[in-house]
Amino acid sequence: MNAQANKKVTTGIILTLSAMVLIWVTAAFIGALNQVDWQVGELMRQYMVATGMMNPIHTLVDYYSHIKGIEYLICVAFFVAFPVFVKYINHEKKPVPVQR
Amino acid sequence: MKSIATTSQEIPIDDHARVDGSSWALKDKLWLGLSREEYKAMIVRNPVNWALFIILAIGIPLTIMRYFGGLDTVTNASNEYPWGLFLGFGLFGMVPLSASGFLLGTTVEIFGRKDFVPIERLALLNGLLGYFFAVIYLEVDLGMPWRLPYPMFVSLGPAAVLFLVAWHVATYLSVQVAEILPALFEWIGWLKGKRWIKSITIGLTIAGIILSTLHQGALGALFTYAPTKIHPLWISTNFIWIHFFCSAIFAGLSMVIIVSTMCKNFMTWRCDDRFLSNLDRITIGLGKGCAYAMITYLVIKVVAIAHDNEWIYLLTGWGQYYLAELGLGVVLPLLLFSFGVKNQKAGIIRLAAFIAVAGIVWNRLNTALICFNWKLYQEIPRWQEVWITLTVFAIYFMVYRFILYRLPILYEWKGDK
Repeated sequence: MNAQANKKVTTGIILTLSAMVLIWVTAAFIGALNQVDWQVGELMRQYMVATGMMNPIHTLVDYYSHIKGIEYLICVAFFVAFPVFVKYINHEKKPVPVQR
Repeated sequence: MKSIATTSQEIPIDDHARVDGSSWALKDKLWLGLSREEYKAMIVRNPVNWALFIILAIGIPLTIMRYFGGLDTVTNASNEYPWGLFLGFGLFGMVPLSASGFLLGTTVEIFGRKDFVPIERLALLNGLLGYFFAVIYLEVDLGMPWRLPYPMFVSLGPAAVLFLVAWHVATYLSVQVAEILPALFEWIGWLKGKRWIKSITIGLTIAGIILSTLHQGALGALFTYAPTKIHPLWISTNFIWIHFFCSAIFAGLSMVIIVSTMCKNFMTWRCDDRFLSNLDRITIGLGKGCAYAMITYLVIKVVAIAHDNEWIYLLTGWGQYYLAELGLGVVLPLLLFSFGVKNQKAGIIRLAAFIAVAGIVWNRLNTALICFNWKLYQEIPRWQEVWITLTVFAIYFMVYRFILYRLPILYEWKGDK
């Protein structure tokens, strides 16, 4: 199989997998919405409780452990995202070669 | 003006000497080299002037009424809602839009980016007038101009944020006047004065950075005077100062993009080739700065929610309003700035700048007025208050235009420099 055909097969596999994941996510989201009587706010609340963004806090230490954990995650994500963003907007567009 | 500029050989004035070799008198420069009749014809012909006339015809009597009758004759101000449109829009909105002066001053004078020189003076003027009219709005709100020095000299409170803001705005305004003076000195031909100002430019720029960064943040810190009155999503006692400072960066740059776009489209006769031919490139550069500042601002807004653990508020009606402000006022222009810069499309960046400026004014109005006393009734400004706000803005516009028509801001002076 030549390189062109390989590329097509790989692209096809990625697209199929992506489509399957998308269908699964959509189905899960619609199913979850159905369970909470189509209330987006309630779904977000349940998500935040499940992921620990909202949880009972009893002491100041609990509070700081909780908020600092999330803050650090956001900051680390930003330290990764910012250079990628800079690279993205500074990326020069290359002319597309014309294939004959 | 446009039609006269195209028919006359002698305007726009960009040199001390006329075509015949004689010198322009200061009076001629003020009249743009036109006769009184020509100048009058120019004013009458422009429909914008008629709109300004209507605004002022109603607004000036209202302003006089405010001074003689008190604040309650034109506003709904009360002990619960002390800050209306004069401060919510005029002060808290205009100051971030005026951050352009120190940003472009730093870019050109400190970082040596001489490729931004064509727009530097416009940014400095935008900063100066924005601050000056923020003080005018403050004056309209205070009502007793002779008491302006009180927080600085009389009621000394060095530990108070208001003390810091008063001193910083006053000294920074002086710095900005000094920074724009070289344009005036070129225009009147006093080169000694210009040389002296130029010799202290670096000092002025550094003073501008210190004063501007501190008081942009201090304006946010001012809200920590009333932490329980403002909706928790709009105030984070730990982060509000950096929210205000960071948002001022893209607000100031966006305002310069808007003003330069208006000059390019409606004042082409006053712009020289250097300005017009470099504007798209400069706009893309400014757009890049806006994109960097906006993504940082967005992240520190989210960090503030995490720090104060206010996720629960996002599920309420106020939370959705907050998300609408972030989505339309920050995320949308951020995407447009990024797309515009990446694809080198100055038009998209200009659109993003308009949205960003609207977004920042919206944020300041939310913080100072709409989300202030969110647990009490909602204050609706009276039409007189809106009209006076519009009147001061119209005067700001007229002063801005008056200076741009004359001083070498959008063009290089051809005479002795």
